[in-house]
Amino acid sequence: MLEPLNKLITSAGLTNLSYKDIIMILIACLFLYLAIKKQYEPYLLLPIAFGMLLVNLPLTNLMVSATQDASGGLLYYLYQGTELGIYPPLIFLCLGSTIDFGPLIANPITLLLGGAAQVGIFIAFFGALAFGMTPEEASSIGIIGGADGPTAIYLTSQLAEHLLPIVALAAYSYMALVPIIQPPIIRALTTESERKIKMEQLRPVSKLEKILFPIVTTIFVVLLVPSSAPLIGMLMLGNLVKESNVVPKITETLQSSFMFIVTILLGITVGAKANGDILLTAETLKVVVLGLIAFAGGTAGGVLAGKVMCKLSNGKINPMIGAAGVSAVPMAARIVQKEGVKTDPSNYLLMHAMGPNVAGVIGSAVAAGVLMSFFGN
Amino acid sequence: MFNVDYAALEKGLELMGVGMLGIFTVLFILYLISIVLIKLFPGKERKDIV
Repeated sequence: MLEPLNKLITSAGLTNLSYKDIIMILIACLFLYLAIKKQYEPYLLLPIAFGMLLVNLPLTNLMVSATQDASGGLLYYLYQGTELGIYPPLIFLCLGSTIDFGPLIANPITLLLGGAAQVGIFIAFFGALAFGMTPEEASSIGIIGGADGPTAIYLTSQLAEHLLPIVALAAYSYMALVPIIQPPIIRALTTESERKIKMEQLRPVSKLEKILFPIVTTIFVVLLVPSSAPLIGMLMLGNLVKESNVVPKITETLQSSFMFIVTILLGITVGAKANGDILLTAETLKVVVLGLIAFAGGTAGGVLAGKVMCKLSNGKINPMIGAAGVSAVPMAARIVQKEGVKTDPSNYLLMHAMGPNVAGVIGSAVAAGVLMSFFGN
Repeated sequence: MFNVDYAALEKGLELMGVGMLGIFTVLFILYLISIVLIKLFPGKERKDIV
């Protein structure tokens, strides 16, 4: 009689709990609290936290890989979409269908601000090398500075898979913290008179220009950096679907249900990679610190490039819009708008900041492509 | 904690320069193409307001 009882007890998760599992379950609960109560990036943080909770409950075998004799766990199969680099480009497809490149086409010089803001990626890359990390790990950490979650997940899944959960969490955490991180950097690097600069109203952009932009961008960017094709290709396809206006049902699906389906799959599988052995290490702390440096460096790089453009244009460009070059669409552009209004209530910079903001999405995808071409297989 | 490998750092600096140059090259070419396209297709009907 005691034997079955003993078997039941030993096969119960409760008796197999380790201290690492307990810590991870507590962290998962904290993230669930932040997602639900504080609403920090809830669309992604909620499934990430729940995935984390599920895999850290002992004996669930949700991430067990398939063998010849037994099939794998549910999350193992779902994780293949992340591991094989499928979900992030699909998110880019959806993102493309929501982005308006109009402000960028109206003022193409802002493309360079989107490029300058990627400097944070390479500052953190360099910092990670100084910490003794491998170039692949350094690239994955650096890409946090792109402030682009799907790009960070894509590159990390290809180069340093073991860092995936912490890089994803750091990337989305810093994106949620844009309103706290960016304003002090913007204010520190600009003078009040620079912040007060009013920019000329953007010219109208024709439908033809908006249709040609994704096609031409795809051709040239992919020709120059072929490894950026999955991200750039999907981003531009989504945008072309939207701008062509010939498949409104697809546009509607990409902007709503499809985006949420892929988001939940991406979130839960990224969270499922976060077990105690991976997350509770000194490397996590390094990633968090370097990620912050990457993010702050990107913002500073964008603002400094904005200052150069301000000088070159005889004060026609407000340098603050450079801060929006770190992607984080549209939050970074909103911060610039807020800072502009704070200095001068009649200074509206939102549309001007959207140019570097969407350029930052292209810039971070190109940066990921460049790093992939350096260190990818 | 700081196991500094100077050869790796030198390589890192080099990659940093090449990487940023690569990004700027791509975006600058895109910028030039945008300018050319704007000149080629000025857009007769400009109804959309950005």
